[in-house]
Amino acid sequence: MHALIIEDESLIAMAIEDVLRGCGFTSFDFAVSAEEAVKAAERKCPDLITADVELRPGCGITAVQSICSKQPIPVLFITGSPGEVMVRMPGHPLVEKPFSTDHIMEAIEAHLGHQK
Amino acid sequence: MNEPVPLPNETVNGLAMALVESSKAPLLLLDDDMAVIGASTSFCNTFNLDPATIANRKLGDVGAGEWGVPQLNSLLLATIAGAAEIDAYEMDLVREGKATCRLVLSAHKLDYFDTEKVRVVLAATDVTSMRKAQKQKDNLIRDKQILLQELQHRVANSLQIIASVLMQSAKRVQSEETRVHLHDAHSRVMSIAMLQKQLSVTQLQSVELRPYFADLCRTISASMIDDPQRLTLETIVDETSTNSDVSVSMGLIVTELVINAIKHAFTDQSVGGKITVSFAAAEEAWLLCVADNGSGMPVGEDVGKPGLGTGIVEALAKQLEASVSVQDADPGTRVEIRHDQS
Repeated sequence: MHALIIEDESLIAMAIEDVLRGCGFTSFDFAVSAEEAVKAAERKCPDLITADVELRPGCGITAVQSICSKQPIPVLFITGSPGEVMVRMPGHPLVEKPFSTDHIMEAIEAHLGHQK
Repeated sequence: MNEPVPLPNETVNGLAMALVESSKAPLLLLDDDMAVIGASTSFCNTFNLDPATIANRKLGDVGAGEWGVPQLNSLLLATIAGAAEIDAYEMDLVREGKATCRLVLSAHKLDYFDTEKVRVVLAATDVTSMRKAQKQKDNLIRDKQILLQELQHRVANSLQIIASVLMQSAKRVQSEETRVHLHDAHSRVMSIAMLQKQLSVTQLQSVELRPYFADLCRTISASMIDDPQRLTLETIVDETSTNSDVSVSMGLIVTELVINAIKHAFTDQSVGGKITVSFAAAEEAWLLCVADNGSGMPVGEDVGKPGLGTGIVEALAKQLEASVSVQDADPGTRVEIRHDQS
């Protein structure tokens, strides 16, 4: 399974990658900006997107909306700005930063039906 | 009670004129035809008008005609007719060659005995600089809020990075002892990170201890308890909210005591272990308690060399002006952090 990790802090992206590996993901694309995220998704369609909201530059929500307008892909927001997600994409799975690995695993299991 | 004696009309007119002309506030006295009968010196100074040129002119002709604003006109007519009073009407005074002024106007019909002759007082306050200052202040507050949000975001991100690195190191090291230390360090950082999260929810004012401790214990149990059958973590916390300094100390104390109980109290127990974190306050006094039903800790003189955790707890308790007591709860251990009424 392939995951797209939209996150502008590389160390946090690494931590997310670690957790997703534990959930059975085997290949990864990383994007630090909204533009990179859209390009990466066009290159290789992911089975899951994890997205931060504040990027350098751009907005993770906008990137996700743009990617998902073409085909629906499961999205997990991992962000320190949960308010914006709740307003713009209400009801979407969301893990607030700071997270521990289990928060992400739980969210993936609960919302996306993937197994460890 | 004496009935007031009506004054002669000339006296009334003279009095009205004298009052208006001597006023420190920008005032105009108008008749029922909206002609200027009198103006205060401050009106002439504020709006750069020569007192000699405005007497007996219609308001619309004063200066270069800048006062001939249709809306003001109809409001004044309504005032003259007694149908309305102008109270804090705002308009822009536009003059050629000068910066536009924001004015707050009020007009009232003078109430006196001669009902034939209508007199209206028009007061004009220039609020341009006040509004400008207000706007600057609003902008400043907004900028500060944005900065604060940015700062919150950065702090949360930085703590997240530290916690993530510690967790990844813990996964990669070979030595079990080092792994345990890294897990402890991760829990300590997460304890502060959780507080940061609570603070951003409450906009930095105060921290509700119940959700904070619940979050904290959830994170600790997620990273340190592998089997919920073996050990559960429970929080019983009242409605107390504290400021951020106190909360961060309390959160770290809870973290240390819970880590300690997980590591030492259940080494040979395979089921039914329980750690309870409780907090209750009454006025200034409070009691923070971490109790377990495990194998018990050495109490009294048998206590060995204190570890880092114990040192942290004692230092933070001291900071909170609280005492630490370790009791044999039989079964298990109960650690109380107690702050008495000062």
